[in-house]
Amino acid sequence: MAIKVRFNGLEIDGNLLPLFSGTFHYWRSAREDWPFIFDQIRSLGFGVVETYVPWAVHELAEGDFDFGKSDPRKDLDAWLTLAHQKGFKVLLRPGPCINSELPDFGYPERVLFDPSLAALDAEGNPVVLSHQTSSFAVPSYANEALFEAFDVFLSALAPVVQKHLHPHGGVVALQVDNELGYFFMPEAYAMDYSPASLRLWSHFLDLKYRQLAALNKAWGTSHKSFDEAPAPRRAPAEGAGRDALRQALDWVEYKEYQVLWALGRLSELYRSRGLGAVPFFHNFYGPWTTPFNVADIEADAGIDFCGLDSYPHAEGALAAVDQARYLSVTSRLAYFPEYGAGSWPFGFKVRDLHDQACTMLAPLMGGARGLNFYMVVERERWLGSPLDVRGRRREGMASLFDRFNAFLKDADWSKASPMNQGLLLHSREAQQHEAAFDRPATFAEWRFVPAELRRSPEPAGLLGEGAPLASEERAFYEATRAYCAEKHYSFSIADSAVAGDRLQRHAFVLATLPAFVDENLARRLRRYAEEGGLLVLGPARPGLNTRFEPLRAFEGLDLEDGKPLAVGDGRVLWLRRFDEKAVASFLRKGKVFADTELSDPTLELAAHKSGGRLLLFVRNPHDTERNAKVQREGKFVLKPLWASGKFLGAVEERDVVLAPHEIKVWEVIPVS
Amino acid sequence: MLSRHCTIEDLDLDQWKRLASLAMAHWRCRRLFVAHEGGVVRRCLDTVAGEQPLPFAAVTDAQAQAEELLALRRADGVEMVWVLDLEAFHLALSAAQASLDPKAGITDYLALEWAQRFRPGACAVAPAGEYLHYGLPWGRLERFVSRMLPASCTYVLGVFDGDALWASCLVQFQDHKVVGISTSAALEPEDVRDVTGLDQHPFLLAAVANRYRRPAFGWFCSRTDFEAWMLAHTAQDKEEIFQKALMAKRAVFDFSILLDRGMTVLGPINPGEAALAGADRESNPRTRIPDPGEPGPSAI
Repeated sequence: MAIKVRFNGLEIDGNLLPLFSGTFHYWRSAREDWPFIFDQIRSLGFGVVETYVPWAVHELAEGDFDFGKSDPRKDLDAWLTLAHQKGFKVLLRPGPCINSELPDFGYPERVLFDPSLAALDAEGNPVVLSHQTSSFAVPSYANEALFEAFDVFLSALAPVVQKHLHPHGGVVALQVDNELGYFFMPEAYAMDYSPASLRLWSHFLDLKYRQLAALNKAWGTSHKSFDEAPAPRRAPAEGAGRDALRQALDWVEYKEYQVLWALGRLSELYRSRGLGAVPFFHNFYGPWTTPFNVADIEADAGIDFCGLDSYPHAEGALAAVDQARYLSVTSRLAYFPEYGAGSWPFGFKVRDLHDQACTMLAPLMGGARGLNFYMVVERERWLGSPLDVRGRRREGMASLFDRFNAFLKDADWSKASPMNQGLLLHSREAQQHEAAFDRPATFAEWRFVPAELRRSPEPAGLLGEGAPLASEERAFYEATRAYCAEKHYSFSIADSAVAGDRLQRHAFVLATLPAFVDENLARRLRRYAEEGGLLVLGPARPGLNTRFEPLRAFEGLDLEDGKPLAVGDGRVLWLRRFDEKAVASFLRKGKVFADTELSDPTLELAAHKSGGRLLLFVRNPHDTERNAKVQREGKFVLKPLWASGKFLGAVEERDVVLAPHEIKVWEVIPVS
Repeated sequence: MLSRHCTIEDLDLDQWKRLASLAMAHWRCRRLFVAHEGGVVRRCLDTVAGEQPLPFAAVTDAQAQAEELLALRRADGVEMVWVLDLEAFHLALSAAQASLDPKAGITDYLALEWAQRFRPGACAVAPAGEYLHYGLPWGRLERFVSRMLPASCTYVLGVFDGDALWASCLVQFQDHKVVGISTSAALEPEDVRDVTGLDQHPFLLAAVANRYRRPAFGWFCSRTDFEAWMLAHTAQDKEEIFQKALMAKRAVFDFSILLDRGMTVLGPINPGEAALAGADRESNPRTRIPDPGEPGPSAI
């Protein structure tokens, strides 16, 4: 493959292409407007465009497709040719699912209305999604018939796309499906209990346990085949034993596997149709916790990089910062395949100019290396883009994008990387433990019932006397995050997939663990400490592996609550409950101090280096203006990169002012 | 009522933001949830204040208890009380999914879901009322659309803040289905330039009728009345606000087309008949897809 995925973009024939792009849906703009629209996208500063390819829009009847023969707006070949002529690189997203605010998410009605393809809920009813202007039963991604139906479209599409794949044309990456993973309904028992999914579940158990005896031992059962093992439909209730929890956790793990399996199946289809000459990528709709597993998708699903989508409002930009913090240590390329530029009309809140201005830098603050702005060209069922449906600038919005692309150049962003001192490890085991106590839910319940009531009560003692509940693990993780933010440590976020070498890059690790952890993770954490790292773990002191057998990796560690323990060249501190003073003392003794501090602890901070330059991001999470002193050792000047103000003289502390929800960026220049 | 393939375009960002904010206010209102299992109360959750002491031990008459609790807590700012058996509620909504008719569209399905929610033992909500969706009394609207409207027409909402058009929504109906939603951004700038205040509403109506070649009718009111109407929790309260505004001449409901189909108030042409006769919109320079060189409606 002539294109390689690098941490900061795509390397194409030896040249780096940073993935900053904008979405332009060819079939939603008049064909005669295309040239002007491309020029306008270029004038915003973008050299890469992205589009979906809508299966339902191109399909006239089963096996009969219109790629421009009747409707010139559907002439994908012409659009790709024009993009190439205009010097654009293209990211193409052919589905099968595209959402795209279409009433059927891009599936033809004949597929979507086929009851045999529907995913089923825990009661055996089809899972209905009400979205935009339609209600439809979502398809099961365990069903081979769905992939066969899609393959008919893919085989018709492939000849059109193949001739535009790099080096013949501008297409440099393909997205396999869109936001695959239970249609915004990740709760463990929400779906999928269709016959196809239950067959896949048996296959998963076979893969996991290999021997029926191993399954029966873990589950406390006497099944005669993996097909007999029932899929849990409710969380373990009062009176349930540890084996019921094991079964529930297996179902939670299976939910991750189904996503991986389906993406693997689809990427295989893409390759079989001759589209494997460019990298494949995927996007989860936002969450990075179970059932979404970025690292596994990149390892085993034939996907080269997997990103997260985000449409934050001004007050919620921190979620995007954390998504990027997670991607920057988990994915090969920390990338947002969809990042809000405008919004869909029926969301909870319309994104406006203020939202756009306050959120554009959030992914960069967290360490993102690429963003696709969805949508830079407005269209039906969308509003607030920098260009209207015919490519004319909406001045307020458009000038923000001019400024953003200028900032990328000024900051030399392709060379930047986060300078994170700490790492928050929210273990996948803790996530799965929490998910095992979801309640079954429909989309309607998701709309009406608060999240607190969509959880089942967890019986105490399932994992041993005194073992923390999932809710305590959640509280521990949130406390670790709040601590790092308040102390102005620049930090990354990871799950159990974090590689050993990435752990080593951090001066300290705050790990949220349940009573059971994967042996490999425990081994990596122990090695991290032995090689000089500072490890804080809690709220559990893990004693079990993921099969609930004794954990070997922590053998010999005599951990006592709140007492640091020397392990090799490093130290380990176990806390049953997060204790800010204990952690502060632990880090102080380890000589770890925040490099930069702000006099207002409620402001968020992140530091990046770019070449030899130090970039400082500060975000005001409040809805009132805030000012604070920037404090660092030695004298320095702050050069505004995304901030008003002058390049002032050298000082030891500098006042900065931030408007409500604003993010600003300065280059910190030390002065001797 | 809402066509699955309804077009949603030419949305003015500020106007739509105002409308959406009011429509979603219904979802953001402060609620008290009393969760029970077969009548035994397990939890009480306030969406603002969090976990609460159990207000009663057992559910005997869910609706009456919800009403009573709302009366008690209204002074604290609670706007709605739900008494629900989480498992029964789940089963009711799960069953609704089995009755989906995908061709019928979202509004039919959501109405079905609404009916299922109130299956005995599942859920009781105070204040009890008609089905509201996005703050709109959906059942009442559906009855109105199916019985009162001509097959092809456009509804115009014009909300004025002083002289300025604060929000607008243009809803096109065809065969009693909503087939298009837009705002005044869909109109030629010169057509709305003179619409400066409530008394100018006929010009807005005429501009819309011409733009979509469908007879138009509409509700025009002050921002204050519109906000009160959208934020009211029951269809009855909405009706009262609507009528009071009409009587005080702070609002106009211009429904002449409902009496005389095909006629618009100041229509220079007769778009209603043209539309009813199935005239091609592309043949009309005012409604066809514009040429690339000329500024289109979304330039406003």
